[in-house]
Amino acid sequence: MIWRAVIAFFLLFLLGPIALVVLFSFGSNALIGFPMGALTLDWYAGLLRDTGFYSAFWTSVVVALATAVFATITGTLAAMGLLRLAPSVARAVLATLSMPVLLPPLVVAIAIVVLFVRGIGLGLGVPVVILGHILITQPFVILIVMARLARFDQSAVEAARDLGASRWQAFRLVTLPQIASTLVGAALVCAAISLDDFIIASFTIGGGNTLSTFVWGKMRTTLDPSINAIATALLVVTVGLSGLALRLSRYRS
Amino acid sequence: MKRAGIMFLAPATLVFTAVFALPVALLFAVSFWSVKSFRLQPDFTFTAWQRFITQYWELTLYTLFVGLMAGIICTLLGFVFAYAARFKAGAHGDTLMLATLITLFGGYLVKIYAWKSILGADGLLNQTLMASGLVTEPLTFLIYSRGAVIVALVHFLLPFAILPIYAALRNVPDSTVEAASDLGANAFNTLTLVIIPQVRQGLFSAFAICFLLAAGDYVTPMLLGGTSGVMLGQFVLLEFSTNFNWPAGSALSFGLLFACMLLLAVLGLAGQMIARRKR
Amino acid sequence: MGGHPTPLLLLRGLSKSFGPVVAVSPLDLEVNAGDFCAILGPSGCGKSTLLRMIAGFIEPSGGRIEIDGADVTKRGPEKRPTNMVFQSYGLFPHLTVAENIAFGLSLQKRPRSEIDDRVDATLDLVRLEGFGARAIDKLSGGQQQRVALARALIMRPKVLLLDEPLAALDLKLRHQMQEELHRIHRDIGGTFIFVTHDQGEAFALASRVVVMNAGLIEQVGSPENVYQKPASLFVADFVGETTILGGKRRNGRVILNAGREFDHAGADGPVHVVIRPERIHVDPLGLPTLIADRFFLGASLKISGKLASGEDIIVRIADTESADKFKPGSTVRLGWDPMAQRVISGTPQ
Repeated sequence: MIWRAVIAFFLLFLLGPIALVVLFSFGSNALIGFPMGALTLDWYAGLLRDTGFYSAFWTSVVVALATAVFATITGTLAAMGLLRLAPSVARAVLATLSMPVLLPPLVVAIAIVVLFVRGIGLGLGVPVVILGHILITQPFVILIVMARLARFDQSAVEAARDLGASRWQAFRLVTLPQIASTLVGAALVCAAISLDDFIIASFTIGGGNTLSTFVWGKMRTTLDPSINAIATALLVVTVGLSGLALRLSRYRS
Repeated sequence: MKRAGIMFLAPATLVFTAVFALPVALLFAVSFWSVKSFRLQPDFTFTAWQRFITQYWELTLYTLFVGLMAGIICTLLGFVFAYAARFKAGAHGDTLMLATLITLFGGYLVKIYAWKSILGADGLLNQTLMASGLVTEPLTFLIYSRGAVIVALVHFLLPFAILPIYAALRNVPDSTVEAASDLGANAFNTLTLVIIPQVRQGLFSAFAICFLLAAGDYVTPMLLGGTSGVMLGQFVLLEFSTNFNWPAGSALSFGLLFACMLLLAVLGLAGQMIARRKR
Repeated sequence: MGGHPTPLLLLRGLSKSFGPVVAVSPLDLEVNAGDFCAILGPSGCGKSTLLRMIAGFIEPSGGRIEIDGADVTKRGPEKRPTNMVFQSYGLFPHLTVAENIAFGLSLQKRPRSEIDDRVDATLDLVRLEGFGARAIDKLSGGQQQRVALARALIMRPKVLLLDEPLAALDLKLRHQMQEELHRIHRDIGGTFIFVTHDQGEAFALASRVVVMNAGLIEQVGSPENVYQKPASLFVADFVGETTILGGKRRNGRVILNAGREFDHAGADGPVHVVIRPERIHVDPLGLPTLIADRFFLGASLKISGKLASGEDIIVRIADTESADKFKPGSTVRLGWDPMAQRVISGTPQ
């Protein structure tokens, strides 16, 4: 049917360019083009020898981990808070908290820089990057956790309270175990977004690199062939994380 | 109960205030400051804004145009794909959305780099065209042009359109579609009279998101736009990082933002008026 | 109505399979103009599939459908002279009540005045006068149902199809809508076919009942027919409560396991006898029954018991004052008029 062709075309358009990058990261020829050259893992090997790569890698891991942990906490708490508000109020609050994601990242990044350099004078660096990433990932956590909590059977918690558990105990022993997989999923989404982010990181990191800014640095010199490999590595990690997250939380936007 | 609820929102709101609301407010204030011999100082002057209006109005219009194009194309294509996934793909609809969601994480920079490699003079597309004999010389207009920027933007932003449109389409009950055809509507009528009116909100949201993100982008035009595909975002960066003219950078940012909001408001109102007239 | 009228709807050898699963086995059915026909059966028996094939939403695997002499088997739903009232109504949320009802006519590009007149007339018919400008989400369930009905009726379809029309309504509303549907059918004299799993509803509305089970038509007939003379054990059991007694027939004589014997022509072999509960009464010459339980149902008394053969027997008695004759644990002799029983040959499937 013609619709099969339509869907196939779209998938080709969406995935094609990415697939090319992955494909050519295994080719000995530097640029994307024919001939591809022999199959090789040289670029990946080169990456592992590059100290710049390592420091960028570890920075990214730290940032992503911190973002995941903190954003999940703030987002989950916020989701729980929102569910106690009137629906129209909750919608308005959620829309407000989501604004950082809807505005151009450039403006958000610059604003953060202005405050931290000029306003507070604390300077930039990894902590600021983490804050910026928490800002843009917590709306996603809120959405994911709210969706899960909406399906949650509150009567189990009431039963626990009835049997003598305090509010915190009921949360820890009844609610938390059941939503745990959703929380892990949300955390992985945060990590993926954090790893993927370029704009905010590039403005707020000061010195040093995350993986994204590292790739950017290589791209500025245009002809560095290891870009494919880095990009693929980054791709695999972010896609892998988000795939894992989806499997865990079965979230539908 | 209410107090507990508000307490829970505290951490997230704190982050929001400290990392977004305050910075943005300060940034807005900075747009009225001045720069004297590379030193920023608090002031109240419209210099930066004047600069924006007099020097950058053309670029702003052009940037809005690119954003508009990207938004419209993304919404149209996004609707086609979401429609196919919702109504023609049977059980695979959700799987397709999963694939779309995953491409969202496929790396912002990676995608731009991929298009650079595809559209370049020695890129994949040209190589294929030359190898097949369709052209004798590489097509240079493919890259470093407005078109290239729009293509790359659409490629990156398409999932942002597909997902909300699909969500809206899922809320359209199958029974309304069947009822329409039961009452004599062909496929086109069903689409325009029954399906689209029910997803108008979703369509506009998708457009708004894609438009905003496209208009504010600077990396894409930097790598793919050359001289003809310049967008305002690049100059925000220039004023901010290179010129250290923070007021100018700020004025440009907010100027672009206001222009975008204005355009969205106008389009939203126009859309509502058209919808009301159709009745 | 006299003679043999040409059926308005004709199904010949109509079947539908989804891969290896047979939803509807090849079946034949005729519905005459003016009938109010119910397709009755348990969930999964294929009745909805059958209805949607008639409407055109499902393509049959085999057979043909004729409406008013024309073969419509290959036509899409928009080209058939049928209209359907959907189980979930399928009302267009972005249109008002009047716009919903006028939808089909406005597609035909009729003049505005004609459409408005007909919409008003149809609103009157379903007793929703003045509701034209209302939004759909402000209507109650019953009102939504009437709008769905009006939207279909205004098209003056040759056959009106209803998919479990009253399933979503509460009891009081359901009875109300049953009377409404009955009245409307009388007023406009159309041909209605509806699908339901509720036997009481089928009987209340229909002049003709089609009992379906596992893709096959078990019986077609008037409600009395289906109730008093069930053609198979399934129909006997599904429609209302029954007592089913097993036995054998030899040389034209039926011998029941429970102990009774009587003459009944037919082939040798196993048989079942089916008796409705209201036809069983206390009989000094009847079968000894151990009373298991009795229920006071308001308008009648229901007694369940066990016969010597181990089979269950159900009795309904209108005289609710005689409850103390049927103490649980006591033994009472029960019998029935041979005219009231129905003999069904063969073993159950």
